Amino acid sequence: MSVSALEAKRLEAVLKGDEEIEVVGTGTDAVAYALMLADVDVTSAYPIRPYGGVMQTVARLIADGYLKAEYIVAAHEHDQFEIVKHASAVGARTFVGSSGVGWLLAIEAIVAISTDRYPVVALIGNRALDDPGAYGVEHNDALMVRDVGWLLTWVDTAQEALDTTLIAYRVAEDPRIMLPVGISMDGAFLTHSEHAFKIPPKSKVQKFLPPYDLGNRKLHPTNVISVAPQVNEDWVTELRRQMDEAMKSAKKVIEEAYRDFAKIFGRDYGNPFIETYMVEDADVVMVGMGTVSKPIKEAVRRLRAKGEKVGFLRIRWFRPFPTEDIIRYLSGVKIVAVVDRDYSFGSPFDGGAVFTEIRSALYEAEHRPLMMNFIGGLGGREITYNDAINMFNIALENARKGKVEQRVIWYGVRE
Amino acid sequence: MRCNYFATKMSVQVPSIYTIEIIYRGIHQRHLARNLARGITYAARMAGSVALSYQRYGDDPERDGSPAKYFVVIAKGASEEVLDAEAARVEPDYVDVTIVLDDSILKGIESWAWQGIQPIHLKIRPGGLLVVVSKRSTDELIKFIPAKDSPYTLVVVYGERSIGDFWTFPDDGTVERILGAIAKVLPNVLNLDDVKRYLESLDKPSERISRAFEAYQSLVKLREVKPGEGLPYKYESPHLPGWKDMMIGAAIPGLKPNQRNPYFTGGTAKHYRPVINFDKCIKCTLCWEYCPDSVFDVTPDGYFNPALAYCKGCGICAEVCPVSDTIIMVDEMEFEDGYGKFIDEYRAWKENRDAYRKWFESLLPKAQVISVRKR
Repeated sequence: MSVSALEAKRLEAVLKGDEEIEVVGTGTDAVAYALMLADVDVTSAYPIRPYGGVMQTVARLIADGYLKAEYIVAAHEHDQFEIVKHASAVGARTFVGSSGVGWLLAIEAIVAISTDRYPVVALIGNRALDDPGAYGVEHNDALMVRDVGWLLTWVDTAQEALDTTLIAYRVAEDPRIMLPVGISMDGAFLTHSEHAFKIPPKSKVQKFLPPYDLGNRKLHPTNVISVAPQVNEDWVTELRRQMDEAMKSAKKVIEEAYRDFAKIFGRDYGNPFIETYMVEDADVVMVGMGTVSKPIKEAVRRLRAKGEKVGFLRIRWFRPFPTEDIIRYLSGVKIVAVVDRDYSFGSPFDGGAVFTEIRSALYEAEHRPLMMNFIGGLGGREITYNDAINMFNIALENARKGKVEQRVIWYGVRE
Repeated sequence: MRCNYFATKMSVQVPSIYTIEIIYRGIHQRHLARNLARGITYAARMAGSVALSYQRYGDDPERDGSPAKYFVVIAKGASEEVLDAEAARVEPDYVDVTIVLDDSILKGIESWAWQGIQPIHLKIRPGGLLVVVSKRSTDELIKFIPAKDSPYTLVVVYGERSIGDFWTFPDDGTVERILGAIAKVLPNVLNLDDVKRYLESLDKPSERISRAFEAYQSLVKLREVKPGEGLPYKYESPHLPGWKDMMIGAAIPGLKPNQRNPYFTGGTAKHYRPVINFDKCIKCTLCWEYCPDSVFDVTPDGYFNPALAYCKGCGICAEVCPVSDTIIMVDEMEFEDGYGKFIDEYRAWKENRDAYRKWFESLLPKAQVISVRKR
């Protein structure tokens, strides 16, 4: 099976020419094209939807000669993540990914990738955790690793997926970082919808992304080192502190990467960590991650047309968490309403994970806003702009009263 | 409640806490060490003291022969909370008594890779006790112990080395004898009545009590050791690197081919060592091939010389050697070496074959059969 004649011609152009071209494809296709541009050396695959589409496209790109890479089909997800960990240790640029419970099956290897400090890039096609069975999006799969040294980002368009993949390699492989990056993409809503996006020419990518260099940590017969020893209480605190330092440095490195990205490719994302939409004078700001941005922005436009002061803030990088930006944009707002496509049972106020993190950041705000939390869109249930308008109306009502009557609302749950 | 709170606050006093360290061989003595630690703890509690015990977890006592540690902390006439600060330690800073269950551990302790070889009495307070289960005299044992800056008392509890395995505990009276010895040398911690009270609560009480009494009456010998008396070995605490000095992600410089790890020798795990009769060696390579720790260095003329600092004493080489009485396993206490310096058997043989032959023949009657298969 080969790509269509039209796409073949366009792929030839980006590999050989200096101009970007437009194609139509899914969010996972966009990531696959980024892997082609980044010249990934090793990928390991194990099928699970909704991440799986990326491996099909990568396989096609390899088969058709657009990408030279080892494509290793693993026995299961744990092997899959072990394979890239070891490949990364010997100096290969690697790609891996999974979804939902597949991601969780690999959790031991996933943690070792970050604690061993290998710059693996993974795509998490966000999917509800079993049981019960559901293919659709929930963010709890990726959030499982929020504390163990993975950089985590949520994208909301195919274009952003492609661009973020290139940025992810640059950030992960920076000698100051050397941590893996997990790119989260909402199952179905982005993994399985087709959009037009631009593929930049490989010649520009080479200017943006230097070759992967592990330096003195490369496992090789000529560089005799031992990795991952047993160290017990004598070393562990120091090694965790190293990771802490890398994560703290990540903000600077991410900023540098986005600045260079805008310079080289001409696409400027502004603030790399968050996207703000009409927040400047807003009384109510809704916060979310991933594709929920689309209906919420539409709701903002419709409510603004009626004169309501509402806005939206999308968290693009969840780790490192954009604490300063959250404080900067949300301090003084009347109501902050967080939409969580996840749950965190038994957490403070029984809210979602994003709600809890934002609430914690805003403790340092000069003017702490009132806070609400909508838990919804679980298991792949859609959140439409009408839903977003309903949520805004509840928040606006609270803003007028000056108090929050129900802090956490399971939005749309059938009683 | 309020009243109780103040009562507690008002009665705060610093109690005197006794800390007992038990040093044993991993696996072979794990049940012995635990039974002794718990026995002391029960006996102390029955006597009205508070007490608890814990392992030095990082020593991995599940490792074959590795020197490992147990601790018992006792406070007399105090409330439970005075032990709170002792309850979550890796190890205590100092101990009042160190009990050594296998005299060959006197030759040093390697707790963990970068700790180096620690002297047996590292933790003993000035004036403390070093209690050793052995059939040797105090004067013989002092030849294996490094000098210490402060005085201490060396105590021998006469007895066979008690060796069990992962699952079994040889109930051979060692625990009772040590309890009797404690009653003799540390009556302020446990006196003979305390020991008796505890042993009466076990099975076969009269047999156990008579063993404790026997030790109390006739099996304990003491010797004061002056500062500076003993082997000239100076232990230096390891330098532990800061997070900025470490390689990223716990990577460490590896060993080059034919290089041995200078930081972790591991040879303190053995109570027997292989001695090679090079005159009979047929250079078949089996010892070299089967050694699980790769301790055999190949000599220029094709013999296999054990690097004893790294040998764990498993006896596999002696078992696979096809020539009788060519590799024999001999008790560590037959050799006055240790603390990083070991006899170089091949060199000794090369330098004087006759002397070596005589030495080997003198060791032959003392050779032990360690059947790996039986284990």
